[in-house]
Amino acid sequence: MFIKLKMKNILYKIILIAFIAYWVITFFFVMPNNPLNLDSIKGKEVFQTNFFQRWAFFAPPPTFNERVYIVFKNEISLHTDVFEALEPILKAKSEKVPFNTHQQLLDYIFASTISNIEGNIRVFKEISNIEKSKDNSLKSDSVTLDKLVKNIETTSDFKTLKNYAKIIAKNNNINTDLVSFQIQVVRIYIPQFVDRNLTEQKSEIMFSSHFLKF
Amino acid sequence: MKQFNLYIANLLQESRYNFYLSFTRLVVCLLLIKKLLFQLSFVNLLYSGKSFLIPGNNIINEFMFSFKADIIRYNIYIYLSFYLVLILLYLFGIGRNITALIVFLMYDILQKLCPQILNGGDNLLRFILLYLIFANSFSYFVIEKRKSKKVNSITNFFSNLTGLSICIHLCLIYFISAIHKIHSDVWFNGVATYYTLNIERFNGSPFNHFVGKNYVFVTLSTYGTWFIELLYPILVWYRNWRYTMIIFAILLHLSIAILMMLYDFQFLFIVVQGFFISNKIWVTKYESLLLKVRTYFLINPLFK
Repeated sequence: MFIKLKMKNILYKIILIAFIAYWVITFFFVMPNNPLNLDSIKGKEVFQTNFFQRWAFFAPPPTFNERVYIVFKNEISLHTDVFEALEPILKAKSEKVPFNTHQQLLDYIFASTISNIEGNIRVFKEISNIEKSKDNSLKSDSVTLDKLVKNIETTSDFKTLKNYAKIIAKNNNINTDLVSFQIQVVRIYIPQFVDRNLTEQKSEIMFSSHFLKF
Repeated sequence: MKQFNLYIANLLQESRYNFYLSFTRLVVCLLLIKKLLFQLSFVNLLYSGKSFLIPGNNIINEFMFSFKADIIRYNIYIYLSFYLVLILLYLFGIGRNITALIVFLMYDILQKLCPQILNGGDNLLRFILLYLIFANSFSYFVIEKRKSKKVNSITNFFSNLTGLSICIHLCLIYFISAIHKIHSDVWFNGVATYYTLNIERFNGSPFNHFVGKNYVFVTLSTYGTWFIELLYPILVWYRNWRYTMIIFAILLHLSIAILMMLYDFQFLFIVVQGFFISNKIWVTKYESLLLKVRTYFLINPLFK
């Protein structure tokens, strides 16, 4: 009886130590990047695979809104049609609140897709900068940019936008066999707080694909 | 060491989250059912890979195991039907911790099938489901209560650790969020909410642009959010400050829900606040409510 009680006590201690360890590890890996957790990349990878969490909550908040332009160019007549995909979804999301599940899902899909594309651009740029710093005689900026765009065009995120472009083409009676398409992601910057009453907004093309066939 | 043993003895004595763990199970189950029903028309888009969305994960890693996502994508309706049945079982307390484990795993797999649509609320929900696996959340709101009234110290031990984990996780979230905000210029300079209120994705009310331009509102709401996130994890543990911090946190989440259309997300954060209120208070309130309801049905001639 006494041994059983002792064993139980040891078991409780082990569980409590595991509990404390779990929280120490969680805190360690959830903290912003610092020399300590950056030194344990392998551990962070394992932790994020099983206990993924990110709690930055608008820190920093985005300082821009986004637009996704889909351009269809007729191969024969060279006539172009331009459609903006995002704004109508966001408008409907606000208008149909709280019964806006469809718009909300589309919004999340677009936001995640665009964010991944922008993330990939950052990564590809960093890689090409490293390559350039190693060998100055390497390619010009335009060649690098072309390579970057081609890389993005192979990603699943771009393919999602491409599929959506197909839906827009179908909805607008555009024959996808006769047109090539281009996708542009544009940022419209929110004016700084001191300029909040200005109506003019700066914009910037973040990504522009080649004209591609469906 | 003496303190450590004392703490263990304290955890073994009684479940300090007895009522609220059951209530959370109930709320979480209803939330999962709501999510599932609302997404039902979009199953093909989100999970099957047959619509325009290209699936992100081809392999699902579930702790020690990994398998092809296509196995589930091809049988998504069977999977979701099974998932719904299990949530219902969990809702009524059937199968207890085993059901809790399966529901967690199935929810986790579903998250990994379509990570594009997740937000912080889903992330917290996943952890709550994970912690609930270890707890006795079946003291209330179950079809059949256990016959044995014997107090089980191991159950108490795990239930207390579960409740504590949820409290710690909420504090961790606020603290980490506050730390990130310190690093951000717009939060530091008191203008962050101007930007959040002008993001089209989260334009939840016609007043967003209007209040977003008011410098008094913007400064107070920016610093207010920041101070709540920074001070909550410390002050909520002190009895004198507890209710003040809970009220502030609820107001913060309510305003985010209304202004930014993040309903489920904020609802969950509001529900979790209840873990900081003592079990005794919850039980007393619940029993008096139950009495009122019973009396109403007994007195009302319609139900006689």
